[in-house]
Parts: sequence; C-alpha cells; structure tokens
Amino acid sequence: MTLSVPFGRLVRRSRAELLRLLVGVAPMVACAQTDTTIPVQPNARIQIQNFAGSIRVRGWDRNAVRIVVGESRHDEVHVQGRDAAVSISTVSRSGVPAPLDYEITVPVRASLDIGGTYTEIAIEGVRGSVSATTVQGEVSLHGGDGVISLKSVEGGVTVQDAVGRIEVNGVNKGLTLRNINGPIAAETVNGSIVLDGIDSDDVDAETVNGPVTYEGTIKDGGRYRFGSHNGTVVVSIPERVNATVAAVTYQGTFSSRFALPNAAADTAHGGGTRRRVNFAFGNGSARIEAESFQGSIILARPGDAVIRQR
Amino acid sequence: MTDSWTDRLSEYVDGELDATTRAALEAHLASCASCRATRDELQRVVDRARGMGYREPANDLWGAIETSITAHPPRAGRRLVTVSWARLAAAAAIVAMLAGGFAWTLATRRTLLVVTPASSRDTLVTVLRQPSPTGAATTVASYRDAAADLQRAFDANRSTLRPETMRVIEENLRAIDLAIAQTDSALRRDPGSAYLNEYLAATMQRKLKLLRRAVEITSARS
Repeated sequence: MTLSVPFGRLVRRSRAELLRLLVGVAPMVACAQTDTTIPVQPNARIQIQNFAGSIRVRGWDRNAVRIVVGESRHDEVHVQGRDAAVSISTVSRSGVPAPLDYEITVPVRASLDIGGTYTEIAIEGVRGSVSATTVQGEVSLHGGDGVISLKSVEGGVTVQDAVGRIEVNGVNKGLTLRNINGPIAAETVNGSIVLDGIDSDDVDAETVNGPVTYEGTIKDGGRYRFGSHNGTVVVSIPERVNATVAAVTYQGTFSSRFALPNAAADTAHGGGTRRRVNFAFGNGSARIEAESFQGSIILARPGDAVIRQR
Repeated sequence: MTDSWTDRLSEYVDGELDATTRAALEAHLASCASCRATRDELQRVVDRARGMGYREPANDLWGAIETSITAHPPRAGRRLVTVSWARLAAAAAIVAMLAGGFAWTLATRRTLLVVTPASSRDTLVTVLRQPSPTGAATTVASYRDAAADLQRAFDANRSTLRPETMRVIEENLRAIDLAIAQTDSALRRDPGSAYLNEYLAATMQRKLKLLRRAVEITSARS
C-alpha cells in the first residue's frame, strides 16, 4: 500500500495509529484517487461508511479487499484493520463530507455492514450476511446468505437471489424481493411490495399506500401475512396446498381467481362494508393472513395474469 | 349459503354477535342442519388457526408487569373501567410493542394494568392504578405519550437532515396518521370489531416504529 501522509500529521497521530502505519495498515489519506488491496480472511467482516455518494460492492474469489475511491480534496478515506475485520469510512476535514464513490471488491463469503446517509448502495455476487442502510438512495442486493437487513428511507430496496433471514425496510418507495429462500419481513409506508419466486415458510409484508403481491411457496406449517391499508393484496395460492386462509378488508373487496372450498364464508356487516373470509385448503396447516383496510384482496394461481401484470 | 343466518356465522364463531342476535342464531341453528354444518366447519378453521400459537413479542413485558403488581398492590381510590376483550387485545398489542422498542419510555411511565376476569363472558373489569400526574392512564395514552416524546426528539434534531428528507419522513408519518384516523373512524361505527381494534393497534405500532427510526437517523447525525 502506498501511503502519503504529511509529517506534521504523523506527529499528531496516536502511538497506536503510528504502529498501524508502520505495519502497513491504514488509516490512509486519499487526496488523490485511492486504489488499495488488503489481505483478509474469506469470511471477514467488512464495514463501510460513506456519508454521501455511492457504494458499489461485488464479490470475488480472492481473500482480499480492494478499495477504489474517487478523488476528494477535502475528505480522507480511513481504512482500518485486516484479516478478520476491515473498516472503511469517509472522514471529513471540513464539516459535512463531500460525496464520494466507493467501489469495493470483497471475498464472496465476507459479511458486509454498509451505511450511508445520501448514498446509493449496490451489492452483487456475495454469499455472506449483509446489512445495508441509507436514508436517501436506492439499496440493491444481488446475492447474500445469512442474516440480511436492508433499509432506505427515500429509496427503493431490491434484493434478489438471497438465502437466509431477510429483513427489508423502506419508507417512501417500494420493495422488490425475487428468488429468495428464507424467512422474510418486508415493510414500507408509501410503496409497493413485490415478492416473487419466494421459497419460505415465514413471510410478513406490510405497507400503507401500495399493493402487495406474493408469488411463492405455501409450506405446510408456514405463516404468511400480507397487509396494506390502501393497496390491493394479491396472493398466489399453488394447487394442493394445506393452508388456512383468513382474509379481511374493511372497505375493499375480496375475490378469488379460482374456485374456493365450499366452507368459505363471506360476511359483510357493521358500519362499513367489512368483509371477512375464512377457509382452508387441504389440512389447513399453513396460515395465510391477508388484510387491506380499503383495498382489494385477490387470490390467484401462480402465473395468473393478475400477478404477472404487477 | 342458503339463508340469511349463514352470513352471520363467522361473527358467531368469532364471538362478535350481541346477545340478542346470538340467541336468535342459536335458535335457528337448532333447526337448521346446513347452518350447523357450516358453523362446525368454520369452528374447525378457527380452532386450527388458534392452535397455531401466539407470536411472542421480541421482548416480554410480563416480568416488569408482575414486578410492578407485586411491588405496588392496588390501593383504595382506584378507578374501575370496563374494557372489552377486543380493546384489551389492542391495548396488549401496544404494551407488547412498547416493550419491544421503548424501554426508555416505559422507564418513565409505570401505569400498568391489573386484570381481573369478571363474570360477564365478553368483558373484563380492569383496575387501573391511580395514574401519577404525569403518567398515562391507559396504554393507548401511553402510545400517545410515546409518539409525542419521539416526535419531540425528532423535531429537536431536524436540522441534521436535508429539508427534502425531513419532508418525506413527515409525509409518511402523516400517511400513517391518516390510516389511524380512518381506522378510528371505522371503530366508532363498528366498536365491537376485533379486527379494527387489532388493526388500530398495529397501525399505531407502525407509526411508532417510523418515528423511532426517524429519531435514530437524526440522532446519529446530531
């Protein structure tokens, strides 16, 4: 690693920092573009903090982390640690950090902890646990294995081809989850939730303003909960499932694109137009709850046009 | 669906009918095999759903409740309030929610419920300890207090985020407020609805979650 640190700075640093410098590990100043590679363990924990700009992470088959950061006149890029854990962050020398664009390459099995404020986050080709949080910016993950937590306030969140326990939180945009294997908790306020190609026995998806669409497995003994205040809830029900369905809407409608069991009871009463429907398929061992206060609830078969168009 | 009573069977199974309607329906069931069969099938569905168990909150508040009850038994001057099962469920949901995320709020509010089942089938007599001057009288009030506290904390650090981000968060908080207001309005028209009570509690919980997240974001940058 090439370091460029003024002497005056060096004498102000702590002995611990100086020791790190002497052994060739950061902190490091990046007045020019940074491009450095650090050896790490295959399952190293990589922390990345960037106040504004972007963070792009991809996996490779080397036991090393490569860090490429665009030029910044005012801010420093600090890289600390090696082997088991590496921390990468932007530190401003003049108030609020300027936007920086990070391109980080990590071992495929590394676990990632990524944070930003006005930051776009894109991760691909990894097979470890992932935590990524931003305020203003999209978050996208392609891959991931383990505990996965993705959050954005103003941006949409997309996760694809992930395995593990998935938690996805948005606020002002939608959430898209495709080809996921594992328990899912997805929640936003003003946006849609699309769950497609899901293989899970525990799914919880809720929004306030927006539709919720689910296409995936309904496993025996599983729990599936879908809710929206204003939007339509569409749930795909494969044939020959064993599930108890409880659907309720206050001012919306309930419909099914296929014939329901004879025991389905549809009630409407009270001051509004509340509709509650309960019935079971097969031995009813899975539990499906669908709620929409003033939107529609639609059951459909996998591949139905009503799902595809969403 | 063969007669007008079949549309009321789901409410019957859920225990949502008033006593008069319930008695009339039971009289009808005695003479209608079709309705009895539908009721039995619905009952099986409901039993199966109940048998799936209760989803525990992340943190159990009962220990704190029990400690509080033991340490401070109800005294003279307590207030009697009748609460329906549905409203109690809503309150319990809020308590569970508070336990899950707002320990600091609970630490300053010691109002808790002492519940004694009454003889009536569908009501409980709930004894509330006399609230302290600054405490909340009910868990719904605790929600309001928690929301107000979080809102103040959020407002205190609003300068740490860009105005457009603050505006987005506030718009989303208002969207949840609107959902709460709509649910509350529906509850006024349909006060016995367990669904609406539970939904109101869940929507309040959502509001607090967003507020807590907003406070975390602004605090981290203050």
